Amino acid sequence: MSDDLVVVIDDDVSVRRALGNLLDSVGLTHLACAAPEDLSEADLAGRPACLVLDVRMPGCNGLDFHEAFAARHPEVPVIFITGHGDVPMSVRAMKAGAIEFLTKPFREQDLLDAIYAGLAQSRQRLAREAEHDDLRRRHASLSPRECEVMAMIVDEGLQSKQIAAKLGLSEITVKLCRGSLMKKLGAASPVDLGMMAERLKGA
Amino acid sequence: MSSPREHHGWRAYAAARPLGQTARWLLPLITVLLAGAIFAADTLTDYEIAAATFYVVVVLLASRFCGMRALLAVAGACLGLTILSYFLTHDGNFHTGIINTAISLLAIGAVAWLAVRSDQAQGRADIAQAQLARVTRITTLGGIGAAIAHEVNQPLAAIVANAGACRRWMGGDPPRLDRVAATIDDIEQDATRASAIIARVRNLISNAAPRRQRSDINDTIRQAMALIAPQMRERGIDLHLAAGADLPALSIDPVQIQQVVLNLLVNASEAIDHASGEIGIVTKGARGGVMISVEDNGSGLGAGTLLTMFEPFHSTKQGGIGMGLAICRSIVEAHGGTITAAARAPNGLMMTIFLPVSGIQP
Repeated sequence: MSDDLVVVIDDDVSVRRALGNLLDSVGLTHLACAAPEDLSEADLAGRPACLVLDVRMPGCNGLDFHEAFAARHPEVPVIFITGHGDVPMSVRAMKAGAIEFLTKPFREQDLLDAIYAGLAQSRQRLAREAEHDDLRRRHASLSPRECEVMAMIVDEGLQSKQIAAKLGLSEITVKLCRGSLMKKLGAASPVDLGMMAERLKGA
Repeated sequence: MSSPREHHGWRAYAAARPLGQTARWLLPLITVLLAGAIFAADTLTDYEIAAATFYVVVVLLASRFCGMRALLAVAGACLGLTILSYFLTHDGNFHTGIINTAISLLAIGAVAWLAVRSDQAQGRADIAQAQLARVTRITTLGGIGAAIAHEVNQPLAAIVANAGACRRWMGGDPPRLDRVAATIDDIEQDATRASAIIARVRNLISNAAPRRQRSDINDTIRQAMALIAPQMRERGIDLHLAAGADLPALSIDPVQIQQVVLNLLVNASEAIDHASGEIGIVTKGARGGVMISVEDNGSGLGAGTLLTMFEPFHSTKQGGIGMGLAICRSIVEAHGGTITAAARAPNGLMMTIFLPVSGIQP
């Protein structure tokens, strides 16, 4: 929780200050920027974060920035705030993946709710990513033979005996190999193994 | 004699404007002297000479600087003098005298009636024009309304967020009263900011009669700039004012001059269709007044348009009614000033306004 970061990007100094006060009052760590350029990538690295972004800013369209940002940081949910929102603008923002579109002046509880939801989403996403990284690391530790066996199990659905015949090995060897790869990946059952393989493919 | 006119509007300026010291005294003086000379001529010459008809000139002169009541009083005085001359004159044919006096009385009455009618018509025209100016002001504001709404919503959003923060700090254990106190200051500032924006808008749309006051032209221009600044910022247009130092105070209607400036700024921003837009306002002292120039690096206008752009119902905009610059010109001219347009090298347009200190045409 203490690692959470809320980034506010708004060109209006009093809005920045006020949102800073609000976040302070609920004990959330925050970073206020006057322009998107002021936000450094290092600030966002590996921690749950949520971005509160003003749509209209000088010399830069918040929506355009959001589209570029979302591509770089899919793990950071974006909440739009705007002084004068119209329907096409909010549609575009939501389509680009914003989790909330609030028109100023908004109820501060609405913003906080959106921020909490955003941070939760970001935490979940980071946890999933960490798990995924872990899985990839474990998969990388498999020997070439183990990889081969795993592919035969999940892709072709072959039994140990069939694999042994195909690879010209004894069934015992295949069973040992299979046990070792399941252990390395932390898979409890062939179904579990199948799901892991799916996740690895998805990445 | 020089009471202000009863109606408000353009020509109200003609009376309310501080006429030059010479003009203020000269015309009434000439009028009184002329009335005296006509009285003397009418009285001293015999009945056949109808010198009293020249009182119509007195009435016409008086209509230049009098309100309606004063004008009727002048006409009445002329009628009285004519009748008085009739009794004081000794020579000539008595019957001719009666006829000549009657003709003179009728002529004076008719001219006074026409002068009053024309004054009333002018009054109505002035009111109509003032209303038209107000409508174009509102139209101009309507065009930048979204940006103004945005600008008001910023401090409102800040106030709501700050109030929420205060509530949490006060409910905390221990309450953070230090933060609350500082935040209440912020709230106050934001509320002041919001109300200043609203006051500026209300000022421009109010139905108040045009009123001249001694004003700093740079302040007046800054007020207009503040209204349109958010829109300029959003469009990435660099708007700046090079304010001349030690400019003389001008006797102007700030609302109307703001309208002119706002109109020129809206036009300039609409002429800019590229990313590096720039609009510069320069004020500087000039002989007998102040020069204001508004320059943009937009698409500019053709030579033909430069000649006709101030004509009513001339518009190059889709859906424009073409009254903006016509109204600008009538406002500036009512202030005794001039407005001109020139192409700017390599692109864009430069509008130049001259406003005199005295408020009358040089």
